[in-house]
Amino acid sequence: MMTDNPFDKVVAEDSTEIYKQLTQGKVILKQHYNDLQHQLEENPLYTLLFNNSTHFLSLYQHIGYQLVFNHEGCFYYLKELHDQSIDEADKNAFKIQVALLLIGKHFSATGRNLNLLYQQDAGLNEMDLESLKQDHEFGEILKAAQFNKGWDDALDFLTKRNFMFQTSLTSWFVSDAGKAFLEHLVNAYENNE
Amino acid sequence: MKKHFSTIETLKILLAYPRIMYQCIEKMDQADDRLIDESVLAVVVRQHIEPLEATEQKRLLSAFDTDNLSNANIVSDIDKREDGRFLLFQQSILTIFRLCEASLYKEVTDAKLKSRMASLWDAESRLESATFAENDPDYIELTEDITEQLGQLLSLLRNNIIAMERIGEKLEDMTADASRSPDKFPEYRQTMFEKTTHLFDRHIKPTLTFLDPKVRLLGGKSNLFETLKQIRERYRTNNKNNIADQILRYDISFSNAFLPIQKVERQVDHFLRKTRMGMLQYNAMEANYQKIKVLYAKTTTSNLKSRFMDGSEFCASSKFALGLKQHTRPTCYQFGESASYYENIFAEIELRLSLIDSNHQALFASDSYKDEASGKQLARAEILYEWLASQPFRPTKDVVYVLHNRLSDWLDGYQFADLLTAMIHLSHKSEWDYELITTNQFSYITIEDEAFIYRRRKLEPAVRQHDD
Repeated sequence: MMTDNPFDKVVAEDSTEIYKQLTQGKVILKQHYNDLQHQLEENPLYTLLFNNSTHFLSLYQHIGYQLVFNHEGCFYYLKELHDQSIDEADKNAFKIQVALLLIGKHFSATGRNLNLLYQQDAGLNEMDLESLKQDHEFGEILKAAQFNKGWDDALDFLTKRNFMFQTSLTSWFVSDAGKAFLEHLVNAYENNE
Repeated sequence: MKKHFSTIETLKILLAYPRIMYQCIEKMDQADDRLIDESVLAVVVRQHIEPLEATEQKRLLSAFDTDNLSNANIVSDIDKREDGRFLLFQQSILTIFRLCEASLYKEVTDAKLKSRMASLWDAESRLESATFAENDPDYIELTEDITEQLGQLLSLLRNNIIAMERIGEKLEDMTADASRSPDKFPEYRQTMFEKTTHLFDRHIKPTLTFLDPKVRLLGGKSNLFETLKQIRERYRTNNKNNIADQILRYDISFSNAFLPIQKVERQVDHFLRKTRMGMLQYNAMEANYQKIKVLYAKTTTSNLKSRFMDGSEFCASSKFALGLKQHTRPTCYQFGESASYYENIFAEIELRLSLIDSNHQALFASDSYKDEASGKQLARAEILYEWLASQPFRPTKDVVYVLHNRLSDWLDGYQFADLLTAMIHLSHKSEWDYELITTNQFSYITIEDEAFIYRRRKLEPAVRQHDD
C-alpha cells in the first residue's frame, strides 16, 4: 500500500532555501520586504512552512532542532532541541531585545506613536540614527550588550536576522518580528505584569 | 560612654552603608526640611543593622550616635524643637551622598538661581572699582570669589541636568496608572497635567531661562552670558588674559548645558500631547529601559569581570526569540576520483613518510631555549639551520604554514622566534631550487595562546635564466 510521502508536497529547492535562511539565524516572516520592488510582500517560504508545518516540525526534530513559531509576530525560527549552549543563544535574544527597546524608547520619547516605527514609509531615518548615536547612555548600554561598534553593529544585527528591514542607505523600519517584541512590552506593561 | 570615631572614620562608616544616608536624605527632601529628626535617623539605622553581626552593629550604633556625629563635625548643628532633637548635617556631607545617588539630586529652583545671579551681578559691580593689582588682597579675593562662584554654579547645573534627564522615569511613575486604564484616563489626565506642569514650571523652565543666551531679564539686568562677558572684558582690558580665558571656558560649559535641557523640555512637551496609547507606549518603553539600566549599572561596579549585562532574567520574562542563533551546517568532504586527485594524495603520503624517516629526535634537550644567553641562542639557530638543510621542500602556497606545522611537530618547546629564524634563513638561502614569493594575502597561525598574522609566502620552483 502506498502512503503519502510529505516530502513529495514540498519542492526540494524551497526547503533548501528555508534551511539556509534558518541556519543563518534569520527569522522567516509572513511578510517580507522586497528590496527591488520596495514593498512588503507575502513570503512564499513562510506559506510553505505554514501549510506543511507538521512535515517541517518533524523534519527539523529529526535533525536535532526545534522549529519555533511565534504567534504574535507570525514568524518562524530555529533553535536547538536540546540546547546545551543556551547561554550564547540567550545572549542573542538579549541583544535583539536591547536594541529594539532602545529604538522604541527613542521613538516614543520623541513624541511618536510606535506604530510609525513599523511602517515602511515612516520608520527610522537618518536624523534618528544621528540622535541615537549621540546619546551617550545608549552607546554605553549597547556596548554592555556586546555590540562593540555601537549602533552600526546593532542595526546590522537586527536587519541580518529580519527584525528590521533596511529601505535605503539611511532608513529602516521594524518588521513584524520586532513589532511583536515591542508590543509584548506594551501589553505586559498595561496588564501590570 | 560610647566610643567616638574621628571624622574620617565616621565618614568611612557612613559611606560603607550608604543606604542609611540615602534614606535620610529622601526623608528630609520629602519633608522639605533641612534637618532630620534624631529618632527617625535612629529608626533607619536600626533597620539597616539588623542583618549585621553584633560587633558591626555596635560599630554602626556608635558611629551614628548623635554625640559622635556632632563631635566628628559631620553634624553641624542640633536643633532642640518641641518634638525632639533635630540634626543639621554638614552640607558637604549631603552633597557627597547626593553625588553617589542620582535620584537624590535636587532640581535647582528659581529662587536658588536668582540668588546665584544676584551674587554674580554683585561681583561684577565690585570689579568696576577693583585695582587689578596682583598685590591688592581685595582684588585677589574678589577674583577667587568669582571663579569659585562660577565653579559652584557649573556643578550645580550639571547635577541639575542629571536630575532632569531622569525625567522619563518620573513621567512614567506619575502616569503609570493613568495609562493603564482606558476608562479612568480622562480623569487622570487632569492631575497628570498638573503634576507635569508643576515639574516643568518649577524646575525645567527656570534653568532653561537661566541658560538661554537670548533671554531678557526684567529691569534691564544682564543675563548670565552678558554678565560673564562683562566680567571677562574687565579682565581682558586690564591684561588679565589668563582669568579672562578661564571665564570664557566657563561660558562655553554653560552654553553646552543648554542643549540637554532643551531636549528635556521637548520631551515633556511631547509627553503632554500624547494620547493614552502613546503614553502607554512611552511608559512601557521607559519602565523596561529602567530595567536595562539596572543591569547596566551592575556592569559599572568595581568587579572587572562583569563588563557585559546579564540578560537572562530579562529574557526569561519576555520569552522573546529565545534560542535564536546561527547554526553551523554540516561541511562536505571533498573526495575526488580523478587520477590527479590520487596522485596528489600519494605525493603527500610520500612526503610525510620521508619526513618521518628523517632525523626524528628532540633537537633541544633541556630547557636551554629559554636561556637568554646569546651563545645558546646561536647554538640553537645553528641546529635549526642544519635541520632545515635536511628538510625536503616542494612548491606550496603557504610556506610559513608548512614550516609552522613541521616545527611544532618536531621541536620541543617550539616558539615563534624559531619560525622567524627559519623563515629568515630560507629567504637568504642562495643556490636553491625554489624561490620565495611574498603575496598580499594574509593568514594567521596560533602558537600556544598567541595568534600571529602574516603575509603568505609562496614557494615556487626557481626560474633560472640561461639565455646565453
